[in-house]
Amino acid sequence: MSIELNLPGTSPSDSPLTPGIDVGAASPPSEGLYGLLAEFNDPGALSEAAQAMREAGYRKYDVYSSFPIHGMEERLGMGLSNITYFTGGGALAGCTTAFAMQWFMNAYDYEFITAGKPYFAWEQFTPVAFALSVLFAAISTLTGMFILNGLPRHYHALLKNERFVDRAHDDGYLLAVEARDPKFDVNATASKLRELGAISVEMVEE
Amino acid sequence: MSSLSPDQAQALGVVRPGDRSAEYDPQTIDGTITDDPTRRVPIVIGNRDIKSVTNTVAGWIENGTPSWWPLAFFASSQLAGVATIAILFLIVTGVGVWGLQNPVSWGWAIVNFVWWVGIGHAGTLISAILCLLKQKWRVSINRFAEAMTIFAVVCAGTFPGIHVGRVWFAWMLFPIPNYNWIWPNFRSPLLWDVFAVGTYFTVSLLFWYMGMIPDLAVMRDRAIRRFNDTIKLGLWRPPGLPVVPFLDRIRFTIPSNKIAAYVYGFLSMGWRYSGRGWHHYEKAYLLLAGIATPLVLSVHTIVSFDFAVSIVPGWHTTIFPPYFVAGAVFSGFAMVLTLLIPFRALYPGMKDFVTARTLENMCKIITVTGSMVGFAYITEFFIAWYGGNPYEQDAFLIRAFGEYWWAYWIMMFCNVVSPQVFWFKWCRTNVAFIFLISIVVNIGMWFERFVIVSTLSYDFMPSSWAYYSPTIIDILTFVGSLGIFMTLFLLFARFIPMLPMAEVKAVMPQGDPHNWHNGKYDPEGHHHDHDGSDHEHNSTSGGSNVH
Repeated sequence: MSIELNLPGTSPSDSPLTPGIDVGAASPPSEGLYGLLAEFNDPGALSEAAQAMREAGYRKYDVYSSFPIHGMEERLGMGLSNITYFTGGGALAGCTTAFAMQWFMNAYDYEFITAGKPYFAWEQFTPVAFALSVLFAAISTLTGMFILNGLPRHYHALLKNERFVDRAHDDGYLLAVEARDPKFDVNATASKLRELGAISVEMVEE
Repeated sequence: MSSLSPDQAQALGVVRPGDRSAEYDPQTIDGTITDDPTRRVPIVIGNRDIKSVTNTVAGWIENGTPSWWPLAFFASSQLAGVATIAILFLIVTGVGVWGLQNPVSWGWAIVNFVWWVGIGHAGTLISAILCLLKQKWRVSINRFAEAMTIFAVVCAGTFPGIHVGRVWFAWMLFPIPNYNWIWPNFRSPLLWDVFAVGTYFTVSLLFWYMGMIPDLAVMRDRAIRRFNDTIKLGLWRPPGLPVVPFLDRIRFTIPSNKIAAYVYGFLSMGWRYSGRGWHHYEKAYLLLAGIATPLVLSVHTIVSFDFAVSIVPGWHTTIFPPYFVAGAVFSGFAMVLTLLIPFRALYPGMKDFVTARTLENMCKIITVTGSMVGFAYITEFFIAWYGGNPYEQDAFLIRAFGEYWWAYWIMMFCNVVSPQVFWFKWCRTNVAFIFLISIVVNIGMWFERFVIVSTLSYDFMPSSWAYYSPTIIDILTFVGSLGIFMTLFLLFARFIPMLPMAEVKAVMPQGDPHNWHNGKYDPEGHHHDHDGSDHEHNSTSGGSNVH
């Protein structure tokens, strides 16, 4: 997309962007624009802004806070997390693996005679089946969390942003709108964020 | 960060404003002890806001090594070295260096194994079961207890590994065919144990790590902010020695924050605290708590099968699984308290998170699980008598009045009598006394395992009965394992945020979006649960998050 930057204006007050933060306003970012980063005052304001942005038709945006904010997933319009499929799938895989392994090792490949029990004594194979179900479920839950969150990702535009590094980990409540959102427009989006009570809005380089 | 003036420190909330002793009240201790069950007490005290949580918890790592730490680390790592030497001696010589004999072929190694695995249970109970039960007070001790779980399981795992005697055959524990292409026997509880403990360790580690990702990201961002700050070190010259110019000129520059930024950065996997990320993360955390919950019950159940599935009188009982699990939680909470109480005193500001109420709650859990254990001891005796089996009856009479009577009565005193003191409020609010009882319980639970294992010395044939006593190598290995545990724990305290910052912030009233109205912090506005006096405590300073 082409980025039209009619910034800075004749006076800083013309611009909806925070004056004084040098994000290459005079010359558009050479690599392109990741989006706009707005900071809000408190978790309440951030929650309301998240909902308002969604109602305004934005989709490629996210909020950033150092702790999970109660009810945020609804404000962001997220449904149930698909992570449950990873957990359930892992548990089933673990249980199947355990029974298959024990059947193969003690009933098929080497028929183990112990205490007159049948070769395939499922009752005695249950503890291992339980343990492996839990093990596989736990591993796939963590993997699923990584996959759904797009992690590991050690390079990200936001992690290069000074305000983000300064504030997000502490008591900063940030909202970033990505430039690839169809509704994104530097000036309009920045004004919108200001309207919602952002205490600062700035551009983030890709 | 390392040189804050008192004013700056106070502004950042690193130290608590005001004199702590002035507001000490024997009735409420730090304001969190109450006799009114309808009153909701604050989880974090000391007028803390969100920023002060980050600064305090991260400050424990960033503000330099505490003066006591090197000494404690030296002592515990020396002890760990003792264990290493004792284990090496065992490996090069053979299990004969232990006090094992016939019929007592399981000695201290198994006692220590069961004791350490049991200790681990408190961490999982706190992070999983209390999470599902929405016990919010757990957040301040959760990371701490999970770390304890992992290090305890590390110590536990050492013992069966070296107990196999020829450690180069330890791979036979795993489902790999041996030289004759024979697979391991999956009907043996000893093999179940391998899977149960292996799973327990892995799941605890994953749970611990996942809980840590957001906090590691905090440490990463803070290290990036001070990326070019370095630590300068020189050689230490003991006072009194003459100055040697050549040695005095030696200086090392450690790019500590660069290292920290890369290590924490790598481990935090690029976490960005995103709202969408938190949604998946929280669900994943809840699911992990859900699947770790049965583990709390299953691991020690399977450990108890090692004994209960055999046909030794005094072991072959169905009460073992529940009784082992209760004992595990009991000893685990005691160990958490043993560690928590000194750390709480040593780290500035930790008392605001680990409140008197938290300790009181843990004492109550100790009394509950201790009573379960006591009930199990009595039931065992009753069933031995009621079952009418003379061998079973003898096994129990010998336990209580035989050559090991002292171990039995130490166990009875430490596990049955001592936890009952927490019925009294003074006992469960007096920190020094709690510490004492926690150590007594640890000792008692070790003796419980010893009493069970020493049942072997009176087996089926009176001609083979023999008294078991440990050798010095047994003792050094056990004492050394405490050193391994403490060494790992001190490293944890030095390099990893000890409290889960994200979880603590999320349960603070300032972290609740409903407590904010038009940019003002106003917890009374929407809440109607008449906990006024408690909330005042938290709300007075918390308002301003504006910078």
